[in-house]
Amino acid sequence: MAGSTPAYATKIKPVAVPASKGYWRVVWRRFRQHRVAYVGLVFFLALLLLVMIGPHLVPYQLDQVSLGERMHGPSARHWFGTDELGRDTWVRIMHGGRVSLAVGLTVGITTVIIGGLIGIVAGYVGGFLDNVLMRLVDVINTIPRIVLLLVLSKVAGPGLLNIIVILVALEWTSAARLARGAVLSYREQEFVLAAQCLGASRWRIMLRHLLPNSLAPLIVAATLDAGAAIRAETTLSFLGLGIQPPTPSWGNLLTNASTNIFIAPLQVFLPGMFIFLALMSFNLLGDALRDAMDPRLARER
Amino acid sequence: MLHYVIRRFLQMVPLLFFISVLIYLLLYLMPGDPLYSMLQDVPHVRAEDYQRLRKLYGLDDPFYVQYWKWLWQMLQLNPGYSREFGQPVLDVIAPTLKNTLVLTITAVVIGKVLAILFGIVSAVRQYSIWDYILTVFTFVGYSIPAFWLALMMIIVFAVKLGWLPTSGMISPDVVPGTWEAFVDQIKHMILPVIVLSISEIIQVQRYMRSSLLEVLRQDYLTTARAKGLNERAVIGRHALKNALIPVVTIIAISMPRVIGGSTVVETVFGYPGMGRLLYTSIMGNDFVVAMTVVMIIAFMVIFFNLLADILYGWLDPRIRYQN
Repeated sequence: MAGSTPAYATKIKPVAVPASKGYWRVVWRRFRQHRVAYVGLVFFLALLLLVMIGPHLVPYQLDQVSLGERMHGPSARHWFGTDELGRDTWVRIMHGGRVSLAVGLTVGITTVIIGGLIGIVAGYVGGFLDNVLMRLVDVINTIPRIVLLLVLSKVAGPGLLNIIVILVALEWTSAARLARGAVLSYREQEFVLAAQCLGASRWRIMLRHLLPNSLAPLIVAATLDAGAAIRAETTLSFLGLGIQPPTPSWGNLLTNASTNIFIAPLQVFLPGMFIFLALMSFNLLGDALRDAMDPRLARER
Repeated sequence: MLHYVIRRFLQMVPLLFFISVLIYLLLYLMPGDPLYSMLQDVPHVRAEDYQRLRKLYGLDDPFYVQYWKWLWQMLQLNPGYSREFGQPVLDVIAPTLKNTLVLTITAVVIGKVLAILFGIVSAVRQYSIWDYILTVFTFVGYSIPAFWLALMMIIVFAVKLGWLPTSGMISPDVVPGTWEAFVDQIKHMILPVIVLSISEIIQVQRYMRSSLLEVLRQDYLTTARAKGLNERAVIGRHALKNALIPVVTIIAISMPRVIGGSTVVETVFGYPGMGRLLYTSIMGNDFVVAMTVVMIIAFMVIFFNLLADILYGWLDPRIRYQN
């Protein structure tokens, strides 16, 4: 090897560079071939578009009370009917969707950044730090999630920001585990050794070499975490510990509607249907991404 | 094997300790003054009496002193007295724990039996219409939030059809101990059991399917077929035995999650179980009750995890624990 000419080395280079670009191209192609992935992506984009333009399609405000039109069924005036104060349910569900989706996306992205970094550091540095962090993950994952959610949301108090912080504090564990696993499988490999020999610092190795290689599982984790966050937020808001009225969320709209479950069951059905659609789209997307990004899985099929 | 069990038992202790410190810290930080809620209805409480009571109950002690006192009492199985209920904590929890166990064990048994059956159908008839339907069912079911499913059940079976009661555990007008009371209680349990067991089916069915598919590929089944056994015997006698091993451990691990997960379902159906007690005690600042319930759940989780490990080693002779 030592005797090989520089010309020989440059021959390898152009082969190596497009290979890494090609990975994402392959992922995209596999993703497109996945019919389920399309369904998930279309659902998600449609929901996002709907909650953004939905409230502008009707001439009602979020808190516009109309006592003459209380608990009406769906009609041309009120597409989804009205609640017990005559407020337009369509507008309220669209606004609630903005809140719930925003929580989901924020938590999904934040958990992956925080959890991913923790996982990479734990996996690469190892030793005592790794041990402590993984025991913390164990403790968080040992207690049923709903129990911790109830306790934490009571301690933190209600509010949008508090809910996001709580969810990030609990959901980072899956991303951390995945990143750590990926790093453990890579850290003894030649390209890391090469970087170490060239004098790259720890942070450079972690961010420049290990992070890009753990990206695939982290993107999947972000998608699934976003779904889990929406589920958790709506559950907490439904139980009165999450987002509080007058700020609407799909969860607290359900609480409100469930008090009139005998008179207006449709009002209970609708917000939940939207939660279901959102969870469905994130889960489909996450599953499809996992299939597309896992070369081992793709070959098996 | 015995060494392994003992070592795992000893490993439980520090984990339980960390969990208890963590949960105690969280509940310690919980807003709301316990003394205030206690003295709410007492007229003419002077400021110095208030301070004296704070000192008497140790509410001004630093965190670690309070924690130590609590731990010491807890080890003697004395979790304290609930002001909200006016009863010792154990007396508050015991009946709800019983109700929860009745509910969750029923749901787990029904859910897992169906999950295993569905998993077998999916695997044996892979890519058939049944496999397809069950796959869609798990995917849809996985995305339905439990509280909404519970509300939908109430709408369909209680509001529209009027077949079943909406909430509670027993109607107020039946005499306890009679046959009518028994039937009445069953009727109250049907909807919560359906909701809980659906989530059980979803969790286990996929495991059963992939586990059986894995086994079906193996050579010893070809041997069994070559011997001239019919398909029923091949699957029922030979394949299932091995395919069930990982599923049994999944079932053991999932037990406490069911109890935690029943919190939401019990709350929606107003079922007087431990999950709903956890919710009401957290909402009502009932510190001691909430803490004890969380510790019971944590204990169950760790115990069932241990049980799953031991079962796995016992059922699968390929696994040998090193000392």
